[in-house]
Amino acid sequence: MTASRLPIGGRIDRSKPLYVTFDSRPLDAFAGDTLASALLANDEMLVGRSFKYHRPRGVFSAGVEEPNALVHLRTGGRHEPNARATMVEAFDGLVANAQNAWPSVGLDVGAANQLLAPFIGAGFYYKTFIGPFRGTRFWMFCERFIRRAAGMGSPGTLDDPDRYETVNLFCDVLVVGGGPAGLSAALAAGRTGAQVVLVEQDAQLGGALLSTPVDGPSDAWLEAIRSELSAMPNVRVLTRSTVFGAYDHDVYGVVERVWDHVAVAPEDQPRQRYAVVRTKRTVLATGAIERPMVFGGNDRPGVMLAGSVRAYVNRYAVLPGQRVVLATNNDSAYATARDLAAAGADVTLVDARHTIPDELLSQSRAEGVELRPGSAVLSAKGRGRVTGAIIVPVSENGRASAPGETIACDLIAVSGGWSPTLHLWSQRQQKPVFDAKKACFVPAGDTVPTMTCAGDAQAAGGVSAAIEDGFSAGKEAAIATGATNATGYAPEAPEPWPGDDWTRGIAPLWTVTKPDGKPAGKAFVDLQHDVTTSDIDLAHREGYQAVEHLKRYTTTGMATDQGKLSNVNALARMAQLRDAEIADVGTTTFRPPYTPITIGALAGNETGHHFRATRLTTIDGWHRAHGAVMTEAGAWLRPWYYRQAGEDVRAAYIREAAHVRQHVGIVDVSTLGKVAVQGPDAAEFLNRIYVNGWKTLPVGRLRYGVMLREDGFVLDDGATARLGEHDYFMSTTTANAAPVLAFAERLLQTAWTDLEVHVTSVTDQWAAIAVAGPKARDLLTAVVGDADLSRDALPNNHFTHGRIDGTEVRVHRMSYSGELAYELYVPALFGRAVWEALIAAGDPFNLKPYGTEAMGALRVEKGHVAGPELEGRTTLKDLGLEGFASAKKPFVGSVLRNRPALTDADRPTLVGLEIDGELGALPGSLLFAADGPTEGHGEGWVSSTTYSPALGKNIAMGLLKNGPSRMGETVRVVDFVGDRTLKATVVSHHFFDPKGERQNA
Amino acid sequence: MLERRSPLADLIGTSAADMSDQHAPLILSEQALGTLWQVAGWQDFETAVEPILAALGFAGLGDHRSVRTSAGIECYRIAPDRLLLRCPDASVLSAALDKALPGRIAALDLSHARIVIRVSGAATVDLMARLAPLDFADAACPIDSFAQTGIHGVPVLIRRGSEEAFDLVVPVTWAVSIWEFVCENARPFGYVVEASRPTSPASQLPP
Repeated sequence: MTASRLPIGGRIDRSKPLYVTFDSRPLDAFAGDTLASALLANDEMLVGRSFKYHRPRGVFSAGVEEPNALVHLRTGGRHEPNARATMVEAFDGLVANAQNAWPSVGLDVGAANQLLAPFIGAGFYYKTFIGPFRGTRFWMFCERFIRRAAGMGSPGTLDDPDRYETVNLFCDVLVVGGGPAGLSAALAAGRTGAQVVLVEQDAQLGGALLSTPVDGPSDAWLEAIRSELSAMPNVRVLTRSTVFGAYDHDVYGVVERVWDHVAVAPEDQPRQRYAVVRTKRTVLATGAIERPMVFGGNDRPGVMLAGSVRAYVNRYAVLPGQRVVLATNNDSAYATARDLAAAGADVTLVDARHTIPDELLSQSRAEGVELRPGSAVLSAKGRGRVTGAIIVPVSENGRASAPGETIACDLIAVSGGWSPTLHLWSQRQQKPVFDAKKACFVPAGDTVPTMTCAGDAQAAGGVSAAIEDGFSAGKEAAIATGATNATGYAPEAPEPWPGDDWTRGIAPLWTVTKPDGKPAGKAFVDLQHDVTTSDIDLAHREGYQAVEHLKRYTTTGMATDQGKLSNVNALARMAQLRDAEIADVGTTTFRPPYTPITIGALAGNETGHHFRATRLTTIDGWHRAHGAVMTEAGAWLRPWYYRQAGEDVRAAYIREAAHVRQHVGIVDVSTLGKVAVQGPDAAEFLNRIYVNGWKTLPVGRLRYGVMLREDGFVLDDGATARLGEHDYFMSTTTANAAPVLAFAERLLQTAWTDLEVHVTSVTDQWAAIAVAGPKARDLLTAVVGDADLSRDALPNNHFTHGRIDGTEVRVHRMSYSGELAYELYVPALFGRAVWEALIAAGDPFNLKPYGTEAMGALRVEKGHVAGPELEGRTTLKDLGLEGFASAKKPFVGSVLRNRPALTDADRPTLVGLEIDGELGALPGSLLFAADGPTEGHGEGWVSSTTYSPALGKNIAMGLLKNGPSRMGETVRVVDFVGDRTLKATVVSHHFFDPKGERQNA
Repeated sequence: MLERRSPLADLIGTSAADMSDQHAPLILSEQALGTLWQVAGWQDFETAVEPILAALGFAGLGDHRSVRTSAGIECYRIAPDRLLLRCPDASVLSAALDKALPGRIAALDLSHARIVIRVSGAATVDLMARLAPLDFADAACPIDSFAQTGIHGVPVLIRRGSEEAFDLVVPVTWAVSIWEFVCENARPFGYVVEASRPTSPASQLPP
């Protein structure tokens, strides 16, 4: 019999038994237990295997710092690896399993790694797998095995069925931590009337007070504070919540585990909530984390932190061991000794200090605790669990000064001092300073003016001091935000427990060694990463002595530990080796998150269908109702093609494109970017942003334009209509709508402040419908009233106003397809009605809708450039558009477009390609001379490709070196991805109707 | 006349509830936008826009957080040199815009560019906290204040209409996605959808 449940006591609810299993074994558990307390209550001492050596490990702590008891939690889509058993609230139906072990945690094949321990110390892979061969080939070979062996736990592969959500919170004062200091801070700030958010990671408020005996004096204090806080409407208390990150501008990331304490969250309720908290002031009352002691075998199941043992005894009514060796170098362990003795344990208290405060000495002896001053644990005995401890007298530097004595025990509780929890403070890019008297890092002065540390977070020294400190910090923080109500006095502190001031008289003891300075066996400084003192020693010998190098070479303090347990002991060891002070070694910067958080919480409900917002035209409903297969175009969803029975996309687009050439079709082009350009200098603005001239464009006309970036590459193209003297309507490609608007705004607000121009997106204001085909005019003439659409009245590049069933529309005469074509611009909310009116009137003209795939085929046939050609690397000359550039005026890019690199005659230029055979080319294929070598990046590439129904062959557009001079030449089109080579003839990219007779009809 | 059709029409039509006996924490609905114009100018904007504002009953440009109302017309100052004017009657606005000095004001019809989603009910502030990174507490966001922000990555203007009601002025082409996102965030509270109250003002093209 070792660990067991106490018959009485604890803060658990014995009237609510829970069904909990670990590795399929049922555990007796009650409401109020954690998985860790339930494991200990059922004497499950072996709960996991270590990261590298697969050494047996048991529960080590009772909080977020837990390095060992990492388990698989839940099943199916809710499976979660690396859950800290100490932070998992027990609930009915909880299923947990050991991880990092096969076939079982008791008999783990990976434990063979322990035999390899001498060869796999710190940095072994850096040295071992690089050398034997030149280059990294050997490393690449070994990497797969290392990756398989590394890591902990197994992630799930099923969809997570739970909901998550994100919320924004604002407050005057954020208090992090619900222990004595945090509660006092929240109380003071709350009394001032300030808006307060108090965040506590535990399910209950109280912090260290919850580890004191039930019904003790601190319970009454706690209840009084809780009651007062709950009555304050300006104080919001978030329990089961962790502040995981502190960011600039006083923004904090918080994850609230809303329903993690049940098997399945209620319907529609989030399992976890990610809160972004923006505050004016912050009080960090994050307490302190007890430090382990470093000695041989200090990772054995049954070695635990003393403060955690106290928590298990008093909060969870679990006695982790019957015969306990309690090793300490400070006062705090004496309360644990007292409570263990009161619970019936046989306690030997080994204090490294030679002088012990009298009251602790006498009190402990009165309680039946055997005291061993000036001694320490040299090593733990046992394999799967602790069976004894070798106790030695030690000198101040931790070396054994006499032979050891073995004491049989089933629990070694250790307290090597405490480390203030400064992670959030450190995340604000601050470096704490080492306080040698208190043997810990403390925050350095007022370096983050809006953040105050209080209580144990700044080693205030005892409960009374923490309460006063917290109250003062809360009051000052609230006043700084402008709150004015009186705070009254700080609540009177409860009677302290023995040794509650761990800062008093601490005697640093970093590593307990044999007389020769070496530990007796593997002595771990970082339990989670299996980093031992010998790894620190190795890093020192190999020159990785700087703290940042030490961390990375040995991995100590990395990942989830973030130095919670390992940091100071590792630094102290390095300081010893360097014969330096810890303050001179320094410490690393802690990174968010403070504790692991789920990806689900960060994603919130922006997943699946809500992964990102989707943009739909106002005609979208019609498309879907009529068989459109939709495709993504940036954030837009557009009709790709309208499926008819038995068709695939190829059959559909060929049918649709051919129909447009023969009859008439309509396509929804509402996605085109549309920008209102307004102001007395609008023409000058257009003159500067486009390469061609705009000052002579009369009202009622529109013009094609091309714009460059400052570096001379083509940015975008489109048509712009002059609606009025100072009003222009610019269209852009769908893809470049936002970049062009941002580009224009930037120029107007920085470079061209002399221009009186406003640019405003009107993409949402206007639906746009292209009508194309030989019968386009006939159709529109039948539908559009009040407008003369004849060839003479409305030639190309003109627009007019008309009405469709009373709704005003604007008719632009322009063609993207090469056919007689128009674009109708319609107030967006009438878009669907106008579309339906066209469809309704279309039967006599054999009107059919067509999708983007057919639209693309038509434009390739015509040889128009589009997104695949305007891809940021092409120039006017590359695309055969240099004729548009005005020589009479400067424009954006007019200087740099003439750089030698952009005017090189060898640059690939736009050509057409007629593909030999039945197969079409794939975009991105590379072009090579027919009889040249297939080397490098080739002589060009295919940009757009289609089957041309009009020509009855596969065609493509591409960019080819010296393209215009190679007409008629055969080239090879090589698709390296699909391992396919085609032959093609270089032709003009104006495949179809090069004279434009059809569009000018 | 053709039908002016909101992109939310189908969504709301299928989910609208009978509101006569509803006590849901949240009520979602679409409200009629009416006519919405952007009025912009340059360095002399305050002078140039004064005749328009005076005709509508407003004095001065106002601040950047408060919605001003005059005879049913709402005025939002969305930038130092830009205003949004929202009005149920297009003719009133047209008459006022006619008073603009030629060349000194850029007026732009945006009546089809936005729709209005209203969220109301006891849980409205809590819902808003899930939608936008703004403080919607009474002190920070009083009634008749507005803010330009983002919901689900989409630019949205939010106006607080009452203690428990906010109007989200949303770009038309994003409206379905934003509506669905609002519904998704409203689920934990429980919500009902109120039938739309669309209006069909005559379509107007810019002058």
